Amino acid sequence: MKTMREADDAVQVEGVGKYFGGEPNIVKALDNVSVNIRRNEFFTLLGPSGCGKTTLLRLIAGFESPTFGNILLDDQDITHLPPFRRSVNTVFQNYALFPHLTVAENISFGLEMLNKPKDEIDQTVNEMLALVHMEELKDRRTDQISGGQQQRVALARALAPKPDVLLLDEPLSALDYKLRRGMQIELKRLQLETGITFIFVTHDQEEALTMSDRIAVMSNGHILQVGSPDEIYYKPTKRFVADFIGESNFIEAKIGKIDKRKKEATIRFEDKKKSFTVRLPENKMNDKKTAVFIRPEHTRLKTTTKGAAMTGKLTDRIFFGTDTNYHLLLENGEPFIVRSQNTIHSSFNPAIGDKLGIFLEEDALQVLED
Amino acid sequence: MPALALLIFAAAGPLIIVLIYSFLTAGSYGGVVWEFATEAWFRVLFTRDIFDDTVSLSDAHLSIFWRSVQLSFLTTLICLLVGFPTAYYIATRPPATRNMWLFFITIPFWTNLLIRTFAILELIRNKGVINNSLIGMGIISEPIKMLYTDLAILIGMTYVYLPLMVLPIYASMERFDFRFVEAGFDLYATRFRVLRKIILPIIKPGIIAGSILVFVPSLGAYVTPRILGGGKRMMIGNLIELQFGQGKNWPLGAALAVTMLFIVMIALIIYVRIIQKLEDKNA
Amino acid sequence: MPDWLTFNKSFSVTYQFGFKQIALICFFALYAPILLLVFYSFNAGSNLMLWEGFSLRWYIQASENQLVQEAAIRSVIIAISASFISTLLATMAALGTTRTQPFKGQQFIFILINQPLMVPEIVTAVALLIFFAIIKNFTNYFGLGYLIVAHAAFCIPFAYLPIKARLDGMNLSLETAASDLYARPFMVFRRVTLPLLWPGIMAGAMLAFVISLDDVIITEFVKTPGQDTLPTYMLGQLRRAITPEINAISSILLAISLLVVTVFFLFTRKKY
Repeated sequence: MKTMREADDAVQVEGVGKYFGGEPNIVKALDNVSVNIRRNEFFTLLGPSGCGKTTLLRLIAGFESPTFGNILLDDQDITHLPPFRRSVNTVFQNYALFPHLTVAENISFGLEMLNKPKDEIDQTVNEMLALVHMEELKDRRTDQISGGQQQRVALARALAPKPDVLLLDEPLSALDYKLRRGMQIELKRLQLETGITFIFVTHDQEEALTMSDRIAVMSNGHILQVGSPDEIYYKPTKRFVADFIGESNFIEAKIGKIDKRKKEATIRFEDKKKSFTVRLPENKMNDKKTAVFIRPEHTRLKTTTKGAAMTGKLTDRIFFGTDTNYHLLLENGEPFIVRSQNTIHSSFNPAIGDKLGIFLEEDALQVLED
Repeated sequence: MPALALLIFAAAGPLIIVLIYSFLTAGSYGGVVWEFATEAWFRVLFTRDIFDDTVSLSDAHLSIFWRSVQLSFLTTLICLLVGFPTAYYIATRPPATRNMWLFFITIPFWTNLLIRTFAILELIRNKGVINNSLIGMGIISEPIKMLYTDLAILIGMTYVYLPLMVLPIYASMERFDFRFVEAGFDLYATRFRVLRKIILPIIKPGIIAGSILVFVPSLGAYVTPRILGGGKRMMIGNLIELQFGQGKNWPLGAALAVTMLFIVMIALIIYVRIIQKLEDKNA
Repeated sequence: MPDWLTFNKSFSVTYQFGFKQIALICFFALYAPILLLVFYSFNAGSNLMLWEGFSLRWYIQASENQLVQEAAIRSVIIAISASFISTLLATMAALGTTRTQPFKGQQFIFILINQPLMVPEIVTAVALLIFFAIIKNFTNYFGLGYLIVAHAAFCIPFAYLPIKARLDGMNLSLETAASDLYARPFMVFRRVTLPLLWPGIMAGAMLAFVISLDDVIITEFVKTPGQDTLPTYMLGQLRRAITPEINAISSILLAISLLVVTVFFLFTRKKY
């Protein structure tokens, strides 16, 4: 399946599949995956372990060949090119720094392999060292520097040959929280400065949301949705995506009047009177009921149940500093979470077991395809 | 890849040749005459009386086989009883000293077999260190005859092959997580029980490896029985050598070599079975 | 809490009754005979067990003995050549059997490589003897070549083990990274694999060297009369007259082995 190519696509993945093993134990790490990654963008592959994101990265890098499908770089078919012929460099999860070389030698490695003249190599190495703030440590052996420093060397090493695309395989997963936050900002800055297309792999949704221009959410060898962080968060098209990013509520609603022309329907919950209008996807036009999705921060709790969309019994309160999550049990037995920002003067202080009214923002309600 | 081809040639070739040779006739000056015969195999087990042509089991050969198996087995056993605590001890030393101990146990392994056997010879001769000291201290008046006996060979082989038992067991012990033992103690096991039921089963592979590394070479030992047993007490290795030297019966030598391989394989299978059964009983 | 309930010795999880004693006795027993041997090599008298004063006479005698000299030179030549060849082959074998997809017969290849280790040495000796005898019939070559080849074949598994161990311990991602950074396969090998593998190769070479130097049985079988190496010379001597000269030669051999083992240990210490 070929997707429309736009003028500024850096990498195109077309109908790629990667299978391991044979019948009957075939493992489909990637199953018919297609995506276009634009030039100069910070693109993230996001998903849980085993979803195929690292496999896809490795295919783009050239460490493995797809079972079927094509990969194009700047319009050139690189599907079967070995890694040393692709203008693509990788920052490995475990850094893979050469232990027998110093920091400077690691950084210059790629340039030496490309037979660049010595002055150019020296100059670039110094530039890179400055870029990642590692000038003083340039002659140290790589097993004598800290994890955070190793990570920066790995980055410099991959950037030195000035590739078209930089691949990053969960590079921050080994760092502690503070270091991680710092590096996230660094990486974003680097990408903007160098203008290189970054393809970033992570399972941390917060990381993906803060750093990316666009995100591809993956699961089980498929790409479920591609979009900007806003789109992914506020307009998930699949249940998995909604669930994986942020917190979500899924509740059963009865469908009333359907307007096929406007592609809308009225819904209500739990035999309550309050009704809402939502967009209805094609495949649900003839349904009587459906699951509806809304994020906890788009709901509100009140002690009164008059005019509420639903009622629920409070089962738990979890304090997050800035917000509080209220866990409730609906009348039909389903769970529901309401998230409110904490204010200093709040008279709202329900006790566990209280019956409360749940109020929803109509625009935040969504019916998903699945 | 070409290296592998070379290796296959180097490794399998000789074995096949040995097998072929065992089916040939002995030449009169050593070497072979290329005539097919099963004479050699026959001679492995039987002798023909030169006078009246009766066939009987070759006592000489059989006793040699038996001695070899017996001695090898005993050697393995003693090595196990001594080697296991030693490996255990080394493995439970703090990491700083552990390397030192390892270094010391490895050195004898790299010392020439001949030298080590010779050292034992010096010890147990009639005029050797042990006898001289004992006589000097007045404990005995006549030297104890230790050299040129089966005991001498046993002592020699144990001495020579002991490091080979220690090293694999050490390797297993080093990987052993003593938290299993802590769990055992926590559940009221005694030290001995912990040893038997927790430690031994887990390091079983090391024990098997060590035993094989001792049993197989000791079965084929040649130098040690030669020096410590004199000409009279032969093991299979000596018997084989004889055929290629004075005996001038290459096919017989080849046949004996194959037989020995055979015995080794059977012994290994039996050994592994015994270990399995012991473990099933304990489980 | 009553006094007798408090422990004054900390509980050791690893303690087992008698093990320490056995281990120490074991070490003592292993070293005593050898040390005695070395001790008596400095004996001035010719009676092996009667100490007659310190003297280097046996060492001098050994070094002036022409047979010893020849045997020593032969031993060293064979050991160096065999170690070189077997290390080379073992390196190729190790590279060929690691990191590749498991292929059919891989177990078989592994056994083939390590075959000298699994089979009593005398069987290998017999096989090599017969093999070379056939060749000797066709060519009339009677030189050291056979011994070198025999030793090389027999030393390969010894060289193979430390090399393979080192290779197994190497992180595959390093070579992947090199490839990612535009290094062609040969360059990857030269700039990444080989430097990292080098300590293992050295260790393998040392091991092969010592094994070859020490070998008795195979050399004894394969050699043509008169082609003695140091160990076979000693074996011959042991059959006839035993003088402390043997102690002296043994001590020297011991010293060489010790030296090589120490170097080996230094090479196999994990740095990275």
